[in-house]
Amino acid sequence: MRIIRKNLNVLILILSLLLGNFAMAQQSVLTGKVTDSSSGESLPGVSIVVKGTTNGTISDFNGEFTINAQRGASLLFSFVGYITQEVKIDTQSTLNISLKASTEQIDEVVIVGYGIQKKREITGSIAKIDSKDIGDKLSSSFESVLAGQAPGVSVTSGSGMAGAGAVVRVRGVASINSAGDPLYVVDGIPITNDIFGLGGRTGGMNINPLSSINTNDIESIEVLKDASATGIYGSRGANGVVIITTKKAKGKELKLEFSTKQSFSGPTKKVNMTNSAEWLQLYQEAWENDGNTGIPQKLPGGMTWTDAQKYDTDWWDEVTRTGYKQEYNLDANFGVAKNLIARLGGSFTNNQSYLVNNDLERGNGNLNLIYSPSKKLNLAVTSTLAKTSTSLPGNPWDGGLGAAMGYALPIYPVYNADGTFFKGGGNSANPVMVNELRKESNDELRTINSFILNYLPTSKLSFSFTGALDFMDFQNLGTEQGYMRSSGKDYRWKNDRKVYNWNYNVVANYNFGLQNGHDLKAMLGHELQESLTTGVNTNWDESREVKESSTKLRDEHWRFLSFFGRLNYMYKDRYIAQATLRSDGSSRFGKNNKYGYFPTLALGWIVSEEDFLKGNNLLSFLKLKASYGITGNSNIPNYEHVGTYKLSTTPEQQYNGLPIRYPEKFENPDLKWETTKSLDLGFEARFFEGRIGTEFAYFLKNSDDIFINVAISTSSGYGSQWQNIASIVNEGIEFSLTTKNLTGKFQWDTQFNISTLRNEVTDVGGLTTEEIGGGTNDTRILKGYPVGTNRLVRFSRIDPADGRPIYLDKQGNETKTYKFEGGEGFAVPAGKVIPDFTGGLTNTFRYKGFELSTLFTFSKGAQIYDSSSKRQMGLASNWNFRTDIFDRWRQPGDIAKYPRMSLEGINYGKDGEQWFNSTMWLFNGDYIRLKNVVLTYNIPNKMVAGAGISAMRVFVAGTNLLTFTKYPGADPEVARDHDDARDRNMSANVSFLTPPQERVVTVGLNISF
Amino acid sequence: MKKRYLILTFLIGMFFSSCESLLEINPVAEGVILKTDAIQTKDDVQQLLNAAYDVVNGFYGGRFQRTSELLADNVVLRDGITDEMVNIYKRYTTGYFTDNETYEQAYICILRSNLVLENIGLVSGMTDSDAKRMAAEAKFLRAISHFAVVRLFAQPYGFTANNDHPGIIIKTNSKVELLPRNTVAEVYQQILKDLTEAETDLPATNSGFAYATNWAAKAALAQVYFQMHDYEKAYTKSSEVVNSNVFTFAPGLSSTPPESELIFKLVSNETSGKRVGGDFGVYRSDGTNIPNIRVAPDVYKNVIKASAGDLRIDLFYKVFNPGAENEYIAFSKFNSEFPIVPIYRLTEQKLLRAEAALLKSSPDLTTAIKDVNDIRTRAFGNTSKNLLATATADVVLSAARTERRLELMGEGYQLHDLKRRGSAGENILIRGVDWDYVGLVIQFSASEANELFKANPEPN
Repeated sequence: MRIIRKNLNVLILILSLLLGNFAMAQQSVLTGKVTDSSSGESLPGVSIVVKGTTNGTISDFNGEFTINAQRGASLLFSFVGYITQEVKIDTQSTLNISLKASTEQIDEVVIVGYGIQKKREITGSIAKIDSKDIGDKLSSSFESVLAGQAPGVSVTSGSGMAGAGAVVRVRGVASINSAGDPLYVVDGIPITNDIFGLGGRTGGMNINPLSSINTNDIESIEVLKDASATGIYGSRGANGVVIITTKKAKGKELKLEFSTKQSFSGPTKKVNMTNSAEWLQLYQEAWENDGNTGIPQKLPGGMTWTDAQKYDTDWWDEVTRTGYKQEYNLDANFGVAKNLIARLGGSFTNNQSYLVNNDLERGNGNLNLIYSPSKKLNLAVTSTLAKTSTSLPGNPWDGGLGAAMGYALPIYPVYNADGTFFKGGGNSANPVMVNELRKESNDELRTINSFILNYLPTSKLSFSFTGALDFMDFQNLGTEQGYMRSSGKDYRWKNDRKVYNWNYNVVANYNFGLQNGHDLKAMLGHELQESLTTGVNTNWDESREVKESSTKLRDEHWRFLSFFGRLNYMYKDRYIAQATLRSDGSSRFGKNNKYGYFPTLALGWIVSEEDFLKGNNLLSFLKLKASYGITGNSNIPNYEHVGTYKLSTTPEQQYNGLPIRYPEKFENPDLKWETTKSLDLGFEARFFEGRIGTEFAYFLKNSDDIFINVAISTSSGYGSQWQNIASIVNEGIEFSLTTKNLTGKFQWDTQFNISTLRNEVTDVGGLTTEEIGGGTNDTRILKGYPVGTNRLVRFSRIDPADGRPIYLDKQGNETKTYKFEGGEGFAVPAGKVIPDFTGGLTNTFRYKGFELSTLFTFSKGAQIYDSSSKRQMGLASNWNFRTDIFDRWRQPGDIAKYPRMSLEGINYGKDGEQWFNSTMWLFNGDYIRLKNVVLTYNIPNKMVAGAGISAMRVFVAGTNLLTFTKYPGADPEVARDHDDARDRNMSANVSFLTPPQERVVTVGLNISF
Repeated sequence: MKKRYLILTFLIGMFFSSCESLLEINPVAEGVILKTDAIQTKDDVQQLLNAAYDVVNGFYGGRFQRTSELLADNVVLRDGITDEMVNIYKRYTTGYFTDNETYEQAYICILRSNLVLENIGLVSGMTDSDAKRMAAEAKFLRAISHFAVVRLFAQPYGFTANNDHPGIIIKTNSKVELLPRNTVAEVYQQILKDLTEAETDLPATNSGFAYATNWAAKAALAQVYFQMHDYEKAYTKSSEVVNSNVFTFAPGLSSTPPESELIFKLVSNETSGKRVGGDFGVYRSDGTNIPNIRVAPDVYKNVIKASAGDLRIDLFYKVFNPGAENEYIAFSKFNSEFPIVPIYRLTEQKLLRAEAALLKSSPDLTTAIKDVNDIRTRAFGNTSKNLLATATADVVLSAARTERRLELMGEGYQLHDLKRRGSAGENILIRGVDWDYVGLVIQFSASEANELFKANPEPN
């Protein structure tokens, strides 16, 4: 409830100014204070009205009020989320009221696009997560706390690296080549979240622009899911919208809040790699199986058998440590001058993951000023500044933990006898050296600033203007010492991106103030957003004559010009209709499709308001809702519709000393947004006065015009082009249940949610899977199958006679030949990365000042393709083995999980092949995970009041403490570092030397003064 | 009052919706212009033509040559290579591991040539003579590009009696469309048409032979006819080139082809930093370069070193780690940081003529002997290994073929010579497989195949 209060603060302020104080003469003056019955905190903004009159007031920021009222009259105290109280005035002159929170959360409000609405009246599907459910959950980036808490929102946390992001998908995946991420809107600003535009993959993880947002500053997160909710974002709403509302100033009273978290972390699982003796034994077995005798030759890294036996390096231990994280937040709320209040905050985070050389340091500062010079006018300025620096180990395959699971063999020493680093196996085989001699970091400076003006000329009409600037300077920089380079000379680089993203919007709201039970409100708005990204890549190579070399990248520049409107109608508090329309024009669209129009319509019926249900004790609330609408996705590269030529700009680009010009890109004037037509049907019901609450939604999203970056027939002489070609269907059910199992002194609440998803690519415009591409992770787009279908050769069994793998050919016949691609190839759809259902279960227990909360998340039906195990458990090579390979064929008659050891691809079905992409590496990805457990103790006020402390809270939290899974790899919740947006859509559950997530134990302290 | 605000909101709206230009953002990057502005004048077309020349380096700058050599029997691949060269060398290219680069670059050249032809009549400042020259140059480039692709990606001319077996797509316009493969007969017909028209209209000299001349067209025609077993015409065209006196046969042997012999070439320039022939880098053995493609030891022993006193042995090759287990023979004739790549040159035309002279319906033994002897005199620094005037046709043919192989080792000719001979009826084995083995035809990239376009069969 406190949260709602905070959200409403600005509105309350305005309302209080509007209503004023309708005092009447010759009456007694009453003063008093309104507090929350459970916490005892003062309640500002409570409406106090003399019953049967228009005489009323609103409690101030300290919860205090003054009202004139006649004796014998009754006062009504009402506030959003609380049970209205009626008090008869007797002789008293002071009146202290404590309001009880309503279990019927019917007046809860929810942030929607360009406004707020009462949850009761909402016809769309919106999941809301309060700061309370965010704050104590330790995560490297805020979006991962959505996991298991918002039905229909799939959150796949990336890896255990500091600042690693999560792949967030709202109601399935409806994109192939374009980014399928939802639109992130912070305080009304669609923020920059272009992962691949910033450089994509650095040091083993994708860049995460969201990691600069401090979770402590977030008041609430709303995820808009269906068309009626996202329709107001038009061509950018199809993949869902995540609205982040930050904490704002409230009240003039000086309030200080300090909080800190201290955490220790380790990996969720240590992957067992073989030690030196085991590795040598396996190598020898391979050597002998291949028909050789004697001491095995050709050891990797130029090692001799004798030397190899001398060393036994545990590379995992060399590159991991106990992670230590600390976070400090200090916030102050105070009045600056008359009608001017402020919130000023600062925080510092040092997040050292369990990987050596992987530290995220972040400093945040934020300021919010609210100025209310008159009851008609309200101005607010919000400014945040974040400086983040993340040091990175190498890419998975050439540094950090990945190398410890791959190229770094236990037979290699860390150092040579002379003290220099051993690099016989190549740089990739000595992650200690890489950590020492190669320094890389992502440094980011980000500031998000907004100015909001609210003007209410009449009680029916209001205007708001919002102007915002989101600026980011992102740098990936590093140095590599000469010892690692073939030239022997140092190398340094800096890749710099600057993103200027600004927008403004003007919104007018009008309440028609109709009579006789009709309620009609209209909103009209206009928005312009522009973004410019500039980039320069510079490197310094000491081995070159001219050391510095710099490339200026193409400016990425786009605009959206939009008009939108929303009509909300309600009759008799029960029949609800909402219509929205947005028109979006964008510089990204081709000239034949410059503007898109996105209408939605939603209907709702609060059945429980009908006479036949009114006052029903069993079913206290029932709302049915339905919506249909069209939204779009415009995450396409800029200028894709424009035909361009290139000119030679330097002498070396010329031909025989003369300038050249040639076609670069073939125009596509028809290029437009992806179109999603969504149907949403659902109900909300509460039973037993709200002790049981449930929500249900069915959704069907038909997405057409899906972008594919088509390889234009090579014989045309052009490369590839983005075209609106494919179609995808996402269909599912979301169900959530909230119960208050025990009330009273010992309280027990349960929240459970589950979502199902059926995802199918229904049309690919006649393209073959090869033309669409997919590549590195062996996940593909195939008509009739889900996005991200594992396309692999089916592995049948190990032949007990000779230990060779037996595959299935296209027709399903057993064969010992391995043939992957081509018309005759055996690769077939064999699995999928998208789960059938996911969800979460939260149990909260409260007793006196204690609160224990546990969150389990679960996922069923997805397969994980452990792409690196084909080398860790395949042919003997220059990779280390996982100990899983102990279950292998050794002699005729053995029934084994993995094939005979060998050095030759021919023994696994194809001569010369090293990597066998078969279902041998496709695993069941089901899991149940204790994502979070938090034990909190609210220290009673009387114990700390003497120290000037108004509230104090300590907590212990655990993240990823338990995981139940059959998956043999590192971590069943995985999103590897992806190559591009397509890869991110298609390969959520693919692992390639991906560091497992962190298991974290945190202690925390919050103090309010 | 509220009306006023509504009107204001709408006015703002109208203002912006009229600003269409807000939504027209064109790419701003160095060296990028809009297609609509790109080709306006004669100079623009000339630059487009230059770009068509420039991309020739993408396939004839070493890529076509090394792929051809990897399929044939002159070279071996260094152990431990993991790129598509392995598939080419092992002769099982697939939709994923293939020489897509040659294919792609050749069709880019074809696109640029077609755009030249389509724009010649549309721009300002074009004179008739410029138009004629540029059209001829574009046709020349279009033809030699098709010729490169058809030799690698289809069975050779003569594989079927009518040559109606699948060839490659003929592109004579810049349309983007899905097309089926044309037959080999159709492809050769188009190549001949383009080259013949180019031969007529091309000038005799053109910027030091870095641009096409009628001589280059004749040399190209000679190669095409040669490949088609039309030795009569191959002899005629190569004779026109050899006898032109425009090009001079260099008397002394040099590791790189002498300027005087170059009929059409790609030129590097150390001053400007322009570099061509980078794909020959896989042969290089100078400095820190370790060659990935090496001379097959048996070829070195039995063919290259077959005659003592051959100056080419030391000039073209270098033996590393002699006598050791890891001995290998590297080419040294490609050791250049800024090479000049000969696309057509006199030595090749002489050797082509020698063989054509013997195979045409009325053999010209004298010319063949002279051509072979010119080569041998230079290769040995004396006439000791020269053919006698009385040598039989068989001996001369064998000598001509040996010299062609020795002179052009590593330059991609051997494969197509063997396929030509195989398709003419000889019993030819290429490194253990028949000349028409499916693996000797390069597979198309997987993304090229569609309902109309059928990929090549792959070896089992």
